[in-house]
Amino acid sequence: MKYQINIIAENQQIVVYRIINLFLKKKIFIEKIEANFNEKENFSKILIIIKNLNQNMIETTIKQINKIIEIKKINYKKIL
Amino acid sequence: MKITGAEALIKSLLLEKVEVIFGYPGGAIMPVYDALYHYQDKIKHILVRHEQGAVHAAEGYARISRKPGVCFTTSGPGATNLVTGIADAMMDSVPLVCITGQVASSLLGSDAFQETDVIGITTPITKWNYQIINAQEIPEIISKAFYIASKGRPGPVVIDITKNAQIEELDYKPKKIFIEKLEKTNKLEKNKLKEIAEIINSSEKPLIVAGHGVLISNAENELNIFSKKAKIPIAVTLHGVSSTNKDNPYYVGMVGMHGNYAPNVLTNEADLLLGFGMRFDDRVTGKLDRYAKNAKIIHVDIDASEHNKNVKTYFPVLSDLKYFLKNILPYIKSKNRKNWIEKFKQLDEIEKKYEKKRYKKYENKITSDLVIKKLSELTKGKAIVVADVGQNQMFAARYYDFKLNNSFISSGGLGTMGFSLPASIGAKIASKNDVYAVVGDGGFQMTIQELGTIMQEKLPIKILILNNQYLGMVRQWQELFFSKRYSFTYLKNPNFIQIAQGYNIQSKKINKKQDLEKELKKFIKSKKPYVLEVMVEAEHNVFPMIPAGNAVDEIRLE
Repeated sequence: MKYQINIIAENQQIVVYRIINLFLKKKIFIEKIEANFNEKENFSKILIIIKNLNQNMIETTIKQINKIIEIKKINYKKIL
Repeated sequence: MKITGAEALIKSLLLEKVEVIFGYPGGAIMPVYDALYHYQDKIKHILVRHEQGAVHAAEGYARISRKPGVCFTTSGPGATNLVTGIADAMMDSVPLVCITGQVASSLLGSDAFQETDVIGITTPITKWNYQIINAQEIPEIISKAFYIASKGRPGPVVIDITKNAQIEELDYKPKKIFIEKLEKTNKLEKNKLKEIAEIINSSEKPLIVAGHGVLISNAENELNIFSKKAKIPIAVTLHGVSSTNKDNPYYVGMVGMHGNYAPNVLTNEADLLLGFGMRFDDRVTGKLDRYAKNAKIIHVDIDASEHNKNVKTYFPVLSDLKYFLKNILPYIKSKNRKNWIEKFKQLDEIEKKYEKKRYKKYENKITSDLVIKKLSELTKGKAIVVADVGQNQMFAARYYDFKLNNSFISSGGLGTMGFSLPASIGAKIASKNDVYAVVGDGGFQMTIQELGTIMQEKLPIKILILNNQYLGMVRQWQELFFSKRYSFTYLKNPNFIQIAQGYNIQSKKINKKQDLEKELKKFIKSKKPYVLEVMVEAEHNVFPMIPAGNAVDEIRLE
């Protein structure tokens, strides 16, 4: 199963590092990751595409990502 | 008013009501130590002998005082020596604020002397971390650190401060931060509470499994009231051991790998499992696909990511446990569950039979469980016990009859050998109660240097070494699962009595059963630090036991 995760976070470099760390720990394969810093509005938009996860794993993972203090908003959708 | 970053740090700590810091100075944190010099009357500093000692002491302090523990270390090795303790605190939800010095910001990334990427190293094992590179940030970031460490599910925070930020001056204004994200708690709506209460009230065979969350949310009373009103048995996890006690008639013992027979077996018979402030760790559940399959699971936890992580939950409740218990209580009906409670007693008798058999086998020997039982009797269960990891930990958890709430500390999730001695330092500083460090001969030698801290601070900590000359738990596994191939678990130990004497700490070694009670009494009576080394039966095992990978009802009694 493929999922697209959309994140809005504080404009800090560490955020991407924290997210990738979590995927690394859980052995989740990242197909694509894209981070756009928005200087003007002082937030970053992060888009991640991951695959090979079941529904329970994606839900737990999303909740774990959401524990990262700098993250403001997170949602995900199934894309394949 | 212009002050240095270092002084602003100390002022910020005072604003957070910090009373004690566990630390070890070094090059990159010297400005902070210089500022601390002028505040010695307001903040106590405990100089440890190794940074791992500082972080475990801070954990012990945090768990007993229920406030964040604070430690100071320098950059490089000072910071990396904290890693084990930070990981330990992360696993066991212990609030810590660790301040590490760092090289000047102009040198970052240049492999400067004693530079390490502390943020990089600690990211996976902290609730939050941050590197301060200019003094201006200090008041806000320190406030944020304390807020994050203690709010919701507690955890460790690391703040790395570059040397220039400690030296630079700033206009200091006290700051108090709050973070909206962490303020979010769920409102327990009436109809939801009624729905949950209905499930509880209609259950025939419910079982509470109470974890560390009971202690963190201060819900010991509420838990007892709830179980007595509903007439539901309470089992505890390792960290939940001192959240209730045998005075509650519904207390049925500990669950998990070395828990009691009845609650483990009956987990699989229960029709309702109430997980209160616990996280269904693999040491509790055993084989997951055979865990509590007949039960609806109601899981109350403040961390949403724990719901449905390991076991499928029928009703996840995102709430502070105390708040939940208080609010659900009016809807709970008393129900006669005599037959169900009786089952626990019956199975308990079976466990006791095996226990008696073991006592008979070791009649003239000193076994670890006997030592803990005696200690419990003689202290009337009214002491704080800081156990290390391994057999000694399981014996301490199972055979000490804890009468005080929040009086058992140990390293649970990470299983850090060497935890006990330094953690007992923090526990003693946080509490007026007597503190006993229960430790094996292996774990004792992992942080033995902290005897120096105990000596310097004159802390009346009682250190009980259960010496079996083995890495006991590993040896037990080798005996049971590796055909007695004792691969590198035998320890040739030093003379612990002479070592204690070297630190000017009173000490005594015993190896005869008839001396046990007399020497324990002296040990307990002493008002000074005391090392009591008890030579215990070497090839003695902790039972019951759920072998790794087995289901909870496949628990072995011998």
